[in-house]
Amino acid sequence: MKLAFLDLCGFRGYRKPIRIEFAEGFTIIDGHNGVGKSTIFDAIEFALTGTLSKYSDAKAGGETVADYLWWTGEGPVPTDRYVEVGFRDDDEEVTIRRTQFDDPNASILEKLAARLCDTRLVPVAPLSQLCATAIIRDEHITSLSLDLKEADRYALLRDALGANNADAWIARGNRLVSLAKQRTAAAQQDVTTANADVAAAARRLDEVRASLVAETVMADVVERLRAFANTVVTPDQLAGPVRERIAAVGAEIESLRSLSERWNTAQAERLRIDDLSKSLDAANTEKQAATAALQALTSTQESVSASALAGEARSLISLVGLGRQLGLRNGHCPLCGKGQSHEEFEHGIQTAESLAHRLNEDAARAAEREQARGIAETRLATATRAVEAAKSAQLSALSVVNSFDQRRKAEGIAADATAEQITARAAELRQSLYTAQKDLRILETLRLSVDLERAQRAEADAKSRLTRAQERFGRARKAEAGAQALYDAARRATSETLDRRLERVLPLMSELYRRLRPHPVWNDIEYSIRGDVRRFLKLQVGEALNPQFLFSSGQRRATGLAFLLSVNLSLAWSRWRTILLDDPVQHVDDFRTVHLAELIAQLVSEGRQIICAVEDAALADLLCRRLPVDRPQGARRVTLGPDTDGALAKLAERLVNPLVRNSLLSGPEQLAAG
Amino acid sequence: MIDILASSANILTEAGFTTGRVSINGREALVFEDAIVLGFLFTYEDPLELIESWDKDASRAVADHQFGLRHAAQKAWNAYVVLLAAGDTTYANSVVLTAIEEDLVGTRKIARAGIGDHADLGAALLPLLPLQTAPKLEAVDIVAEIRQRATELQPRAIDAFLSTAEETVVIQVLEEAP
Repeated sequence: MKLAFLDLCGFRGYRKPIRIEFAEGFTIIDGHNGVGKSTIFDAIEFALTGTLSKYSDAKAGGETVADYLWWTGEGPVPTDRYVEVGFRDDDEEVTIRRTQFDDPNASILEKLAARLCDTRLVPVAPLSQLCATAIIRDEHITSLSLDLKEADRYALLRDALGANNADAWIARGNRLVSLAKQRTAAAQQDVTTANADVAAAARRLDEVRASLVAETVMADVVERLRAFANTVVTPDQLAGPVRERIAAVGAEIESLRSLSERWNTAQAERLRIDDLSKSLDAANTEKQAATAALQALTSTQESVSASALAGEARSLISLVGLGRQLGLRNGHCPLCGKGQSHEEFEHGIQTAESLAHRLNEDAARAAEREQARGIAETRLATATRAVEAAKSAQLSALSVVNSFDQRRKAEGIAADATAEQITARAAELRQSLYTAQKDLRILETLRLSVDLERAQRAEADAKSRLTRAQERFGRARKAEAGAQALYDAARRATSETLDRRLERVLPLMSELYRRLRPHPVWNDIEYSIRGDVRRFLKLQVGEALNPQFLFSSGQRRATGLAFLLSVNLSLAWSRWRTILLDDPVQHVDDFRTVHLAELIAQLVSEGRQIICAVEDAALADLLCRRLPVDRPQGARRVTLGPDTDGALAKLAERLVNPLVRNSLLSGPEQLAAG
Repeated sequence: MIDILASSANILTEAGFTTGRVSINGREALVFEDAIVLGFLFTYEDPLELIESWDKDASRAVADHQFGLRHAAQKAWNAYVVLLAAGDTTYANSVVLTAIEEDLVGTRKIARAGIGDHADLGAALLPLLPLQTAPKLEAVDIVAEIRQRATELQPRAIDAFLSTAEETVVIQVLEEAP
């Protein structure tokens, strides 16, 4: 797009309305100082951005340029106050209008920005950036180029080329690194704190231990207890094995004591076992004899017992006595009622008495036999009990001896050991037990101490916190490294792509320098990029000479023009084909002015629109002659100055006509004539 | 060494000039012209010959082509006299050559010595030629460029960085990376 026109009224020094049509090729504006040439450029910038960057943030007496944007001079007030700029391309015309009270619609500005910029590359505040690079003002030619710090010069060119939102990624990477560093620092602080806590806990533990028992004593105790319990565990784990060993030793002592106590009994019993065997044998013999005797007595079976026979005899005698007493009654036996004589009766009484005597004798004999059998049975029972008693005594003795021997074997005591040896071993164990119990009490003072446990817990907690803090620190450092890698990647992506683009632009800058030829000796300038973190664009001529301090004012200005024009021509994102030059040749001699005219001519030939304001009418004439006009109305000359009312106005305006195309070489005959 | 006259004709023709060879003061010269400028191009063996002869040659050229220049009207203000010498120059001679160039009376002069090759010739004729360097910068896919430079990181971490996720989320992803 190119500028089409500018309408303004009541803006800056312009009281009356003025309209300047811009030609597609070039428009040369001339006029003396103070006729509003620069205001033309100001108006274009103001229409696009709403401000004038050349005043920056300048303040004086509480006033800024905003107080002087609109006409404030003497005389009649303007009929209106506005600035209107038209842009045109083959398809469309876009007009931006600002008044004293109204800004242009944002959508129109966006639309214009979209037409003036490549949307893929558009930078932040594109219209301001466009104005900054397209409007080349006299007062900024050196200050924005040669006099710039190298870093600022690099930034200027970077901004002209950049527009790839790389800065946003760098800023994000930077924020990421900052955040990661904060987290790392916090994690490191946590580690430091945790380390201090661990050290403090260890110190506290040492203090507690020292207050409990001397370390050497504890070490001896631990060693003794380790030997006692036959273990190598750590002191804090030693109590358990020691207690188990104490119980075992106690049991062993008790066992030895029991053995010792039973030693004499066992020995006596051991000696008694032979006698007891003999007694058992004798008892068995007696028992066998008694059994035989009894068997002999019980071989004859009694049909009636002695008591029964004796009873029968007594009954019969009673009956005989009763018969005698009663006598024969009426010739009849009083006992059986049988009729008989006295002789028969007497005889019968005697016979009965005789029978009673036999029965009595049988009863006596039966009683004797029963008594003998009873004696034999008693003898057998006695013998049997004696056998049982002997057996029991023998078993008891064997049991005592066997039990003793088993315990002795279990204790590992030799069969030939003496009671004194057992007693000595028990005493030795008791001493060991006593020492272990004493040592355990010392050890337990270590473990059981509340302070010690608290200190140990505190140390364990501190170590645990330290472990967690170290883990967090490790993760944070890893994240920081990653963040740094991303930041570096963003920066390298930015700087390397920018450098690649710059490398492609630097030849243009060198060419423009060679075209403007600021210096008669140093015909070439070297632009180089240096710096890693901060980037610099260094300008050198000859043998690494700095033109900033070497060139005259006019030469520096010409060099600056070469730089600023190359920046404009390098704008990768701009579709605005206009370059505005506000009095670019102040302090520049005629020779170098011609160079500038030649360069501008080439820019116009390549389709750029040039709007150039100069003070000198002759220079304006030169430019109008030297710049190409490829079509009718392709170029325009405007002269500004005060009108008859003293108001700034357009004094003259004319189209610049194309030159004669062929003059020297219109035909072969002219060549021949030459 | 190059044929400066022939090479100049080629370069100027490529740049859109019409050219023709003429003889001026018995010296073969080149006449060139486009829509804006016209001029004469002389070649010399060395700077000394140039310094001694240029004024006479330039005056002769203007005189010989006075009718054409008159016909050119305004364009005649854009007349060039290009003076090119093959031999190397001394500092003193280069000062003289600069003085010749800075003399804008009548014509615009380009006076150069040490023309040994086409690069020297192109540099001398540069004021008459279109811009030689015209960088066309394409868009940069900065995301792809960043990815290319962060290959040591887990893709998930790079994705997180290149997403719209908060920085704290990116840090978390970085911390979780194996």
